[in-house]
Amino acid sequence: MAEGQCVQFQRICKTYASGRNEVVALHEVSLQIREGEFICIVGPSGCGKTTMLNLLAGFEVPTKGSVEAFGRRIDGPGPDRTMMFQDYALFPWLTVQGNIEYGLRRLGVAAKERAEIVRHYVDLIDLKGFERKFPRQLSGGMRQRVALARALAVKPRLLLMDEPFAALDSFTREKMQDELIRVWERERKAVLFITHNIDEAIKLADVVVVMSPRPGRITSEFRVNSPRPRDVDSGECLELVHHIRELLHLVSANPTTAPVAAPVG
Amino acid sequence: MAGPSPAFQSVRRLGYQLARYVPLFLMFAIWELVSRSNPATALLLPAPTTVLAGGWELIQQGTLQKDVMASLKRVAVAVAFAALVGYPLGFALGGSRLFAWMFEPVVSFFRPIPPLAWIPLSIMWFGITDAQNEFIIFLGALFPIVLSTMEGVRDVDAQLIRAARTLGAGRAAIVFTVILPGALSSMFVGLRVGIGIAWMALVAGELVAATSGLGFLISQGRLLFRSDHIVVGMVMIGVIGLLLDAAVRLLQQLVTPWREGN
Repeated sequence: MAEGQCVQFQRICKTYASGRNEVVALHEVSLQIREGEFICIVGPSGCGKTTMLNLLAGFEVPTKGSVEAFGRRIDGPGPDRTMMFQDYALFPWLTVQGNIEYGLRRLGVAAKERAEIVRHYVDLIDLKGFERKFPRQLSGGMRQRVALARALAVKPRLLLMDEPFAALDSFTREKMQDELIRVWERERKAVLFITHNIDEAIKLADVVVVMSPRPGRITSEFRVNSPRPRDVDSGECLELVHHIRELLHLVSANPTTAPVAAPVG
Repeated sequence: MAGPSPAFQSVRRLGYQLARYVPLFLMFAIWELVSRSNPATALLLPAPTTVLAGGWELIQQGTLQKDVMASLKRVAVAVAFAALVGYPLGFALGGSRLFAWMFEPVVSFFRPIPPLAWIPLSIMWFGITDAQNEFIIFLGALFPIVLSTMEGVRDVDAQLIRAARTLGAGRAAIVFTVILPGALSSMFVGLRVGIGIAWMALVAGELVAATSGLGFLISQGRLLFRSDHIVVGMVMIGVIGLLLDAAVRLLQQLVTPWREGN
């Protein structure tokens, strides 16, 4: 694996049995993620983007090919690759503090160090004073911030995000995007972020990966070079959004699997 | 905007609370009047005041306390055993497909047999003893605990288990830090239903075969023609049933403080 690379998909196939039929979720998908890189996968439902995430998390194994993370074949979930879920998946019986330190407890981190890490992340996500609240006492945006802190607390090298802001209203969603960028710029983890929102992908990502369904495959990749925070209403962003929209409608006419470099700005 | 003063509001709230009990009080009043209208009804349906007097008499003799304690002890022993057997069994049925596949038929075979149907056989096994009564109660409490626990374990959000796994939780950690707290509410439902059925099974068991307890008090009342004692027994059964349920709910609130409505 090349220097600085943290994830490598190499011609991955994934099929599911569905009754007598086989559904091809992923067909010959190849993708590299470098250390500290923010990747967004966009695509309609059924394009296999969630399968990509589940393979990386170690919840599923590929039918063909191998997924490697940090030079090792993935053989199950682990705290080097934590995940944020669309419905938060916070433990309802644990407080904000309990949720954030859950992974640290599993790793056997001493109480004093745990408290320090929790304090750091409570500050970072701006939830001071809410440490002893239970998830149901928090708003959707606050819950998702706790989920972010929980995922970051174990110091993962890769953060997997499965449409984490899809359940939020559009105001909270924009705030959370800004917050995520702010946190990411400080922590610089590799991120694989899944969304069906093209604006969101362009606002957040270093690389936008476009996928299409039946069979699920990568149709193109775009590197977004303009500095953050980005204005999604700027000409260059709109142009890219338009281009991706076009691609998602025209995928069957002209599928391109080779990465397309489309520097913006 | 200035609303009604807090003092006024609390008086009004108290008024509402009291108003709820007016129909209940009226029922007691009518009962009293009907009962006292002639001697025959007085015997068939003793007036509330007669019942109170009868209860006081039983307390002074010390038999009421003795019977209450005897019944409570049986329920406590039986429910403890039911929990000891039922929770692990429910966990195994809910957590392991193989175990469920093999043993659900066994559970389904015994479950529809009412605990009371076991009374004759259990008398042959244990004689007329506390153990016999406890066996009946145990059966009454066992199945709700098993089934609720099983459902609770199965209903634990799969996403939470995934989240725990990505955060480094192994099998044991998932059982104790995700499945157990996730199933706890259902486990309490099972306990509450189980205690309710246990309490009914207890009274039925004591009516048939016991020499102490509230069921025994009632059946003795019938033999001795003391309808006031019968009603004392009935009221005690109701009150204690209510208190047991309240106690379990209080325990649930203490153990699961994260739940809605706490």
